[in-house]
Amino acid sequence: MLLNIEHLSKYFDAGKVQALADVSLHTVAGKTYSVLGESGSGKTTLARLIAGLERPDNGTIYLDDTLISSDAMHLAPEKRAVGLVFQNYALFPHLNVAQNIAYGLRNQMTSQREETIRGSLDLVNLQGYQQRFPHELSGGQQQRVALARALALRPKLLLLDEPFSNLNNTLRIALRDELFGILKNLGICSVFITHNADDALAISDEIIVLRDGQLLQQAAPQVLYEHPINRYVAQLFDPLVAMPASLLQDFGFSPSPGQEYYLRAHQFVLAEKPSDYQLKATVMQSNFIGKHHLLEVKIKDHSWKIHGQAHVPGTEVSIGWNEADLLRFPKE
Amino acid sequence: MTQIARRKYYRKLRRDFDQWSWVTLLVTLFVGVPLLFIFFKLFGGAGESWGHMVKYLLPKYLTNTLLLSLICMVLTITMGVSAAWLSTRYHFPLRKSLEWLNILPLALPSYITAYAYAGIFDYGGSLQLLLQGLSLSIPKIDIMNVNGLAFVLSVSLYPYVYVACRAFFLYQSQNLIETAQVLGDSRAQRFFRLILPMARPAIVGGFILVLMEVLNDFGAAKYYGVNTFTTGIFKAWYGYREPETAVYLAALLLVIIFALILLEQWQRKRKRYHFAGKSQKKLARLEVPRGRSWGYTLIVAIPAILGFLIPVAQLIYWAVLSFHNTQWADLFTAIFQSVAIGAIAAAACVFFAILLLFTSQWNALSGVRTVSRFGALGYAIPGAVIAVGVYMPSLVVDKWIIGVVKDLFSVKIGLLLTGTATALVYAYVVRFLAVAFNPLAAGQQKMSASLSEASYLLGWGRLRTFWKLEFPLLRSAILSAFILVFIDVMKELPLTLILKPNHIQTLAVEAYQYASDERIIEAAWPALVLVLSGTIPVIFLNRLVRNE
Repeated sequence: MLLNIEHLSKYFDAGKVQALADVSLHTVAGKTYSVLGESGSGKTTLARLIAGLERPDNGTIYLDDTLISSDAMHLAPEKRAVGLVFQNYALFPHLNVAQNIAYGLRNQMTSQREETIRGSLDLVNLQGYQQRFPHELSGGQQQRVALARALALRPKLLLLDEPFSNLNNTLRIALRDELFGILKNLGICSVFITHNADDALAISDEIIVLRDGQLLQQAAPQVLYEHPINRYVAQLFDPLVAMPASLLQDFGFSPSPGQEYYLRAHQFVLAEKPSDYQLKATVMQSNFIGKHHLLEVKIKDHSWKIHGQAHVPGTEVSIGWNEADLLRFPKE
Repeated sequence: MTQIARRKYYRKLRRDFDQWSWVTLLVTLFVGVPLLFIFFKLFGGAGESWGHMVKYLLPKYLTNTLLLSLICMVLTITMGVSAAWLSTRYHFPLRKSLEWLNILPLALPSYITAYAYAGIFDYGGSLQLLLQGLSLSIPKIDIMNVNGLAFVLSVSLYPYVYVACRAFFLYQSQNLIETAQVLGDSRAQRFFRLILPMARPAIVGGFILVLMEVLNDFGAAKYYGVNTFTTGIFKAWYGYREPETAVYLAALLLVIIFALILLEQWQRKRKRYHFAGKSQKKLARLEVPRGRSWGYTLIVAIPAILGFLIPVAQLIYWAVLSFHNTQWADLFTAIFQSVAIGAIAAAACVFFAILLLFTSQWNALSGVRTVSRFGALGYAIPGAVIAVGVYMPSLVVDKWIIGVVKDLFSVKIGLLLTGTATALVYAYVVRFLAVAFNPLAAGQQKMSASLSEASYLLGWGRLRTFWKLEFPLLRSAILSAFILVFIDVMKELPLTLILKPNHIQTLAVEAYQYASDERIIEAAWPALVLVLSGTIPVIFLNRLVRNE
């Protein structure tokens, strides 16, 4: 175990606000993790606690089997060998790219240092940018420099706080894949802090879901997607449609009374020929939203918003789904 | 608290109370000694003349100080707000020059402005000479009273309101004003219903500075013969030779000031004055309707003319008159000593401000951070009060040292602190720490916190991060802090009068002594040098702010 966190809690405002509640998790060397949550879920607090920028009110953090944080001791951030790439990159404005990267290299000879700088820039594909200043770089380039600076020290653990939030969509996806490749090659254990479920799915070996300071689930992306622990975790990835028990019975399925059933909005199948499925529905509205249409359909007195192909409002359709896709959770 | 919770609390306290907490508390204590001393001295009983003071003098001090504050409030807010609003909102002739001319009255110590106006309105003064030249005559205007003093203090202090409001108006959102316009407000309604209420924190913030200067003023009130709290402290100190009575007066003044601060904070609690939305469009400047533009120029110019041009003209006139009588050697000694002591005090203030600012943040305990705010309180405390609070404990320490040395070595030594430059510089640090602290804190706030945190995570500790990162990035803020304190120390009068060693002569004290010896004309040269030394940094600072 590289990082081992047990019963970690953190309060703010003199104990009035609980940012993190009894969180326990661990990570393994060489793997990539995402901490996924909305703003206020405690994900940034978690990262700052691991980095040593905050002190826990409860619980312990071990890195490489060494205690680095508890309610009785606090190892200063500079002594932790934890790297952090900030959301705003935090490049030093008065230093050029080479000086930024060299900032943390203290015990190296000049020649060795230059070698490290060059190697780091190679890694992030920014050869020849040594003399540029941060304000002369684009957002994506600044991000790479910040990464190179953190990686130059070869940290045991690299934290990345919302690394893609300031980038446009195309750049985000390109950089995401590149970053994933770099970290995998180096074999550095990294933790991405993100609110974007797509990013989390694309780059993680495991996803850690936080909500209101509580850890809901830690699992591999596919496991998390297919077996979410509750409705909240399920709806992080797709909009859900609640399936009333009466309709499920009409469909020939016998729901158990203590459970709720949901289907992801894109998991419905529609057919215009009324005979194909047992459930009849009327399309009330059909809006094009990019990859597909958002349909509002009416079944008996239920109204659903589902994804599908274009239909003229007023069309009668029959509707169906694959029973294996049904998500079931204990009633809340 | 259960026993487990208590044990846990102490465990965390041991974890978080580190060297930075120590330094923070020590620096706070260091600058807090004078106030603590005054506080504890209150329990030691008042002096003999306290009863006499309460019965005969205190009511007058109270009413005078109150009246002074009220008139100054009306005048400074009227002048400051209108000049700030017009010059941020409209184009008119000479606007750019007036923008910084309206800051310059701050370069004149208010007692110098007071001397100048006394000379202007005096029998045979400049006004009378001017009117005689024009063969006009008006009855003599007597300004040597509360009203005159309030006028003089207002024209010399309104820039505090002006600067605060200007900064506020510059960052107002155009969208808000446009919304009011769409909702049907006329130009005047927009100003009184929207702009003015929104600018309240800026106005109040600026006026509180005015008020502190009014309460701090000694030179002008003394010269105009108006009895205020501060002149009362001097009376108790030098007239009755009763430090205990001075302490009681000082403490009473402190209570009033704390009440004001609390009142203001309570009043603005929970209200928000900042526009919450993103992407603000800045306020656009409007063209003034034809024919009215010089009228706007005049409105904005009047405060600057009254607060700067007229008094400076009077000083120059006197300087020419007294050219042959001036003791140049004395003047240069005073210049040299003023600059030296100003620079030393400014450096000391910046040093302690940086120490307090950074160590209080490096320490992890919010309680310690709260306590450290008291360190910047000195600016609210009148110089005379601080002087009393420094003089008396330094005497105690000196007596103790002399006793110890005598016991140990049987040697008699003199006073080490009392009446020395060390005590004077220490008092300046106590009084002006906040002046250095605020620009530094503002500069540091502008600097993203993640920069320092990135440095820690790259392996550097707090001190090295300061030298490698924060110091170079805060250079201009540090320079501003130094200059601001330097100007304030050069101008400072009441504290310097009480604490300065005999062999040191500052420009402020020299001007004061000439004025109180009825040799006001000879005060012109030291006064002019003071104005000049205050003006250059103001212009320099203005440029610095604009470049950023």
